[in-house]
Amino acid sequence: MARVTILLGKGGTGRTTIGRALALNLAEERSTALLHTQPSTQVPDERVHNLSVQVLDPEALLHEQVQSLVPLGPLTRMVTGHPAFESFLEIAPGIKEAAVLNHLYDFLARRNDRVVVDGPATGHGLHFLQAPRKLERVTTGKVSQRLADVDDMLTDPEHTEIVLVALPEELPARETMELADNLQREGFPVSGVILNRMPPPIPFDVGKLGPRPKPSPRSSTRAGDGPTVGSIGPEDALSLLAAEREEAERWLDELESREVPCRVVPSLPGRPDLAEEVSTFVEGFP
Amino acid sequence: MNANRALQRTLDRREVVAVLGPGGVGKTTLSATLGVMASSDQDTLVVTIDPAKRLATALGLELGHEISHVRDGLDAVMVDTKKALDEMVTRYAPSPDRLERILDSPFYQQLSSALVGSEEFAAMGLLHEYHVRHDYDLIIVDTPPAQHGIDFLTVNRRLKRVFESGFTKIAFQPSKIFSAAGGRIAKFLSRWTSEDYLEALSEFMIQFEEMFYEMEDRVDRMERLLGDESRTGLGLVSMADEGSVSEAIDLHERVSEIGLSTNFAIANRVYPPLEDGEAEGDERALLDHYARLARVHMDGIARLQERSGPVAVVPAMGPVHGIEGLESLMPYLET
Repeated sequence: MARVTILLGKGGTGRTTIGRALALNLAEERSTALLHTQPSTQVPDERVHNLSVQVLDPEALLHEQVQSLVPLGPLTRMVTGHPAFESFLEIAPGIKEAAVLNHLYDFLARRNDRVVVDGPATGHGLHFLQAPRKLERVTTGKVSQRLADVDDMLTDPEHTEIVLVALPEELPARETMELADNLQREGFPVSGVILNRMPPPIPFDVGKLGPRPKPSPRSSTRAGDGPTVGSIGPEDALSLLAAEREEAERWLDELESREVPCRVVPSLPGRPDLAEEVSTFVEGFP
Repeated sequence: MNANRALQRTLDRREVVAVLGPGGVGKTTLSATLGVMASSDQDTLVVTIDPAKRLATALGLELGHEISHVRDGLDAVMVDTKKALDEMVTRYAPSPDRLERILDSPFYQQLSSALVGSEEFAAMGLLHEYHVRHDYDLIIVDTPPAQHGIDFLTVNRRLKRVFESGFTKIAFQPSKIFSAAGGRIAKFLSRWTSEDYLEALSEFMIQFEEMFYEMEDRVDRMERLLGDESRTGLGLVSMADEGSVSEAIDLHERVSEIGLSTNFAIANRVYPPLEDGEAEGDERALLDHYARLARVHMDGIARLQERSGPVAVVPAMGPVHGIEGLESLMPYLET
């Protein structure tokens, strides 16, 4: 069974771009698959040698998997299409997450690709990875056995590496450290943290940020006008960057003081080929 | 209409203002700021249901699960949703014996928080209580991040659908089933899930269903209040980077899917455009970097504005602490 890298991080941390960057690097060497777990993910059209990309729909996966379990032939729809059954699938805790991870297990067993998973956009990364284990305890027979196998795969560092994507700001950094601790405590192999969008270092003294940047930004009067926002001078701009850098360094230090390897990706605003540029910063990671 | 005026009107004319937005964009800080703004002429309560307990830091106070008085005209509370559910179960259990059985059930302890909707339902019940028991002019609700905010606003209708589907009867009271499909579902579930689990889940769901109908009236009234556009306003908060804006636009679409619309939008921590100036070397490189960021932000605001209508812009200004910090944001939101 090939190795899988699972990326976790809250929405807005750039998880999807980092996932593509890691997959681009792996595809240089061998056949690689990138699996996005959010149905709304936008994927670039461009084809890359050795790289296959899938956007998964957890709900559809769940229905598929359930249908393969109900041995009723033509009667299947009677059960799986029934509102009561739909309700069960909607409320049963962890069942969609387990369906995604079960699909991943199947995928790895079937194909020899190196796999990167762009995990769900939620702070509940732990809930995602624990779903098979929790469901295993309450199921029986074949289903239970399969869930145990999925859990074994997820906790085996031979097969799985988990990479957390964070931003160098208080809330995302704290949440990432908490998540790393919790994952490790539950036996999941955390292989690294990527600190994304690190602001550039300021090689000279810019002084402290004035009381406040001076503009009095006002939005436009009509929609569609494009915003009219007051502008700020170079000094204020530099001290804003400096304040941001100072805060970011604090979180970088904090993350680096931990045992988990950490890689920094700089802030690269407005680049057209972002994933490709980022890939040079995450080469060989984790 | 000017974005700041739209915002002010919403605060002036509505009983409830719910703030939605992606995680980590400063939703709680801005909800607290709106609270401070409104408190000058209205009795205001800020309620945060966001699990990222930031309201306390934003207001520079110790805040808890009970309402605290912040200053004249302003109260605040952070709802602990797990506690809210415990309280609800305790209050509505038909007998002490039954209560004990529920609280001891392995299902309740492990999974009640994951069971979709149960905690949100309890939090909505609390919100109703704040609304009727106290005489606030305005309640500002800082909702859970992203899609969870929408889930919160629609918890009653979602749960109602579950209970009305007959799911609890089919899964847990097979003797009451008369249809062939129901029989097969019951058979299917009992084949793949363990008996203990079904029993524990059944106990919880039957209890929860009773509580649901017991409380449904109130929660339904609250949900209708939140869905009544003449009484409740919706605000959308985002940062201006590409990822946050995409999430905010997605959220805006989901708001219309549930038949509501947003009254105002705020872009937080925006880098204002750069005035021209001479610079060389490192300084030039940094200013170019800044200018690119600012351009991304302006593009982001324009993109958001196309969907959401006018956007009020709050510039980036480093960490915000305490009421004074919030007051420094107010000039960007006021008319």
